[in-house]
Formats: sequence, structure tokens, C-alpha cells
Amino acid sequence: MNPRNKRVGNRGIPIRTMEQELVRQARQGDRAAAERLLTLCRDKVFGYLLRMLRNRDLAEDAAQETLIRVLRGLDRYKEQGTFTAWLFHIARGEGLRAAKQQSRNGSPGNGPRLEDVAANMEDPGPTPLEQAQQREQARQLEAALAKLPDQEKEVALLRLTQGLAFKEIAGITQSPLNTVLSRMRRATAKLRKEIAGMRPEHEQGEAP
Amino acid sequence: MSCDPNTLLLYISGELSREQAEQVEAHIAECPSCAQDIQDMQGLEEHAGILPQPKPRRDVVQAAMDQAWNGAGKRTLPAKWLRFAAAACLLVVAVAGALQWRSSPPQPDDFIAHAQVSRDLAEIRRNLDMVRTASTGRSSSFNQMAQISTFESRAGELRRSIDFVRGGMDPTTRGPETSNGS
Repeated sequence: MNPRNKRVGNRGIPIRTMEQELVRQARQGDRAAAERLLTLCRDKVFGYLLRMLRNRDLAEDAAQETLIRVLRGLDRYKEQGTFTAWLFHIARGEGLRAAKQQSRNGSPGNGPRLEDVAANMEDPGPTPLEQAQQREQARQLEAALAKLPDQEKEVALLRLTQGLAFKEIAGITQSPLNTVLSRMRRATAKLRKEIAGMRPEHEQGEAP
Repeated sequence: MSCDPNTLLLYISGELSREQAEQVEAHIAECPSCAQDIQDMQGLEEHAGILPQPKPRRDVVQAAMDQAWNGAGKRTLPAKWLRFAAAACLLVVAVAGALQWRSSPPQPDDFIAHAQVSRDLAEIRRNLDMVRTASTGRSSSFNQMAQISTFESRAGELRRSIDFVRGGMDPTTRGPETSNGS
């Protein structure tokens, strides 16, 4: 299983277990638990929306609306699959709404372009050289992701940056599993083509 | 197992059963093309780990809490309470409305009946007056006396009907008043 599916929190507790526990406490009226839950959600939701919308202001608004809807919907969230899948289902809806509004206004937004944002994001690399290399690789990957069609991009983002299972992604995007897998295959082929130049030729084909 | 890129993706994401995963492993041991595909896809997933995690500049968590916490977690008890109270209020209003409706029964049929009876009464009064006028100054025949008596009796009945209907239309005077008619 992909290691991203086994993310753990700072106490060694799997994040998904932690989320479920915080959901339970928040539903009982624990304000601190609700805040911790939203804080856990914040960055991954914002990262997804920023890469989809490519506009920081819009992404922040959509992330805030997502968190509001999460709070208001906590009572309704029960056996609808994992909390993360439910969270991204909401985030995706807010992202689509923001994108529609953005296209209705006829402009891609006034905020900085994603490539510029990515280049300026905090990235505590171990050494200045590695940090610089990683930044450059990240910038190239961000640019390659940005070029993907939206349907392929959302599948790639949910899989590559959030480690969601394809069945969860199918539920979030309300698409058949085989469609999701086809989009991922196309996205993988395009991304590999774009980033192929990042890795030295002799490493290509070796075990990662 | 034949080459199936979708199954390879599900293998990487850990969504296959143990038996299916073993089939994939047996297949890629003999299929360099699928083995390469798996390496490429896994390589991409690992490579995506270099992507930084952007953070919003605004405190969206606090903003969301300010807007939506009133009623989020604590909503369970008060919401059920409020729903129950609202249902109880509706029930009280419905019962009061039903009682009020029963005590004030003017209905379209009442008005129609009232109009009909009034027309009948006016007709009888005209007939009665004609008979009385005809018999003035003469000795009334038995038939004339019988006609007058019949008309008066009929008028009395209609008067009571009118009073009954009027009483029904006015809750304060509900119930027929006895009247001897004209």
C-alpha cells in the first residue's frame, strides 16, 4: 500500500483515526476538537483548491466555505465513507462553484499564478542545494499538473497529493471507478512525459 | 492474468484483495512491461512527495468557527428541543384553530339557505297581503280563512328558519329564536 495511505499524526496515531475521533468529540459540542479538526483539514483542502483554481484568494474563500460546510454538516456525516472522502467531496463542490464564478466574471483571477506561488512556498530542505533542487523539481511538477485537463488534474491531485484510494476518488468525483482509473493513467503518462527531463537518463527505468 | 493497467493502479493504491494482489505480483514477475509501468507509477507517487503543502494566509479556521460553530457540535440537543417545541406550538395553533372554526360556522351553504328562505318569506307575505286585502270588508269564507291560516303557519316556519340561520352565522346568537311570524 502506498505510504501516503498510512499517514500518521504527531502522536503516532493514524490521521484518519484522529479525524474520526475529533469528529466524534466535535459532534458532542467540543469546540477545541472542532478547531483541531478544521486545522487538520485546512492545509490539504487549501492545497487542493489552490492547485485546482490557481488563485490564492479564490482558494482561500473556497477553503473557508468548505470548513464552514464541514462544521454545519458534522451531524449529517455518518456512514458516508471516510471523513477525508466526505471532506474532499465538499471541497470539490466549493472549488467547482468558485471556478464557475471565476469564469462568469471572465477573468482567471487577480491573485498570483500558481507557479509563482509554488516557487515562493516555504520548503525547509535539508541543505540549500537540495532545497534549491527540490524547489525546481516541485516547480516543474506543479507546472505539469497545472497543464492537465481539470478532470485528470483532480484525480491526480487527490491521488498524488492526498493519497486517496481510487474508490474514494470515484465517490468524490461521482465518476465510475474505471473512468477514474483511465484519467489517472492519462495523467500519469502526461506527467511522466513532462518531468522526464528532471531525472538523469541512467536513473530512468531503475527501481525508484 | 493479462496486462491490465487499471488493475496495476489498484495494486499500487492497495485496493486489491490479497488474492488479487498475489496474481498481480505473479504477473509482473513475468511481464517486464507491467513491471515497468508499476515502477513508473510508484516513482511518480513518490516524486509527488516533494510538492510543498501551501498554507492559506488568512485564518480560515477561525473565520469558519466564528461563522458556523454556533450550532455545530452543540446543535444536537437544542435542535431536537427546538424541533419538539416548534411541533408543540404548531399542534396548539392547530387545535385552537379547529375550535375557533367549530364555534364560528358561517359557511357558503348558510348564506344560500338564508337567501332562499328570505325569498320564500317575501313571496308568502305578498300572498298573505293579497288574501287579507281581498277579504277586507267581507265575511271571510272558510277557504279564505284556511288560506290565511296556512300562509301564516308557513310564514312562521320560515321565520324560525331564518332566525336559525342567522343565529348560526352569528356565534353570539347561535340557536333558533322562536318567532310567530307575521
